[in-house]
Amino acid sequence: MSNDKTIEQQITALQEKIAWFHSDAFSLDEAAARYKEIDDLAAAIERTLLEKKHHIEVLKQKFDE
Amino acid sequence: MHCGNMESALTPRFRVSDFLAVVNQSLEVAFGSIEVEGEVASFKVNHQKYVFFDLKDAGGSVGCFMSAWQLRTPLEDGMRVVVRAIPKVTTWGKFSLTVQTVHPVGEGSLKKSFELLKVKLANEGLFDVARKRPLPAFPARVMVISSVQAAGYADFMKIAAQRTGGVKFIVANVQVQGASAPDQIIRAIDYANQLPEPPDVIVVLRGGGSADDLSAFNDELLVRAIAASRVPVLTGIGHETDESLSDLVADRSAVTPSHAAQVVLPDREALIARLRADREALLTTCEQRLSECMATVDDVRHDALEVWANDVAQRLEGTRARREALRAYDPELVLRQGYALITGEAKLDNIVKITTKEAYMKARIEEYVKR
Repeated sequence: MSNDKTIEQQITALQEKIAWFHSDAFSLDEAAARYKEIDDLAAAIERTLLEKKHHIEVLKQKFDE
Repeated sequence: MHCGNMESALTPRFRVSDFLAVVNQSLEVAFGSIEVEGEVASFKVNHQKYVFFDLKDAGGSVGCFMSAWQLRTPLEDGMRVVVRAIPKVTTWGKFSLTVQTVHPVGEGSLKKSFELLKVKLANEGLFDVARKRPLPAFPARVMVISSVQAAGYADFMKIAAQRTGGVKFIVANVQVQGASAPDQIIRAIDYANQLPEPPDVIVVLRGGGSADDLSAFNDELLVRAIAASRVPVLTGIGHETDESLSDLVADRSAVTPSHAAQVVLPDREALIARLRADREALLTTCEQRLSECMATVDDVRHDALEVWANDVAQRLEGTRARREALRAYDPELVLRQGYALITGEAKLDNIVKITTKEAYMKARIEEYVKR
């Protein structure tokens, strides 16, 4: 799964994929493959959520004058 | 300086303006900048430019002067304040304090100052709900303005570490109490707004403290800087019961620094739970869609069967009708009505065969007349 996407973008992509199952475009022929895509994406997002750490940068800039 | 006789030679003599200059020089050497605490009296602003008031206590009174733009908190007679000032004698020989900063002290004065400024800024619409902007749901860059030594900063980062990760925090280390705190925070806000890639949100943090400790967040220029920020601002100042003007003007205010972390960053555990729930729900959806498809196939099959059955029934009915029609031509039906069937060539003396309902007969044609 694409790692350069933000969590928000990945979650949006997931919701779009899920929406297909509720749309008129749904077809049984494609359902299995699409479900697999969603399962993989959801697992990737979960891994990202558990593994991604914050980056803290304390500015050297002084603000006292 | 002019010297006359012997006695005069020991006693300095000045021109008035020189004397005033020497006095001011002595005051500057002796005191420099000082702080004086007292009660405000005879407060007035002339031409919206010059502020005059007396600072007094039970034992005395001193006149104060300052420029209106330096006054960052509303004043009223009776308020207790600390002024930072330079003592001076004016060219008219009047002693006064040239005030640089003025801060209310004591709960009553702080509260009074807070209320006066709150009314003023509210009348300008700075606290209107319509001005509030939503915070980004998933911020990638967050500017934190706080003292990195403060407990509130540590609380914020502790909770932030438990929330959704991958955020870049840019921390401006500033004083969060004292006379220079408002200006430092204002500079940090300006800095954030001028970054080539501005942060998604600014978070201003300070833990709990006394009303005096938190009074920096009621500074008029700071409140206006928050209002003017292009980047949305979240505040997390003090405890649940504290309310500052910075909180009121911010796009969103959290009750504590820890709460600010909860507000600005999505809940990781809740997101994971939702992801799992979505996957479960999707399985149910798949089952439903499969059932719908099967039901559709059943319907089509049933419809086809019904069409075929109707066709067969119609064909049977047609056959039955034709059979009925054919029966009308059955000679037996005519014979049963009492008629006779004659077969053979109709010619004189010919023998013909006569069939009735009950018998077969033969007969000779004795007469043949054309009709």
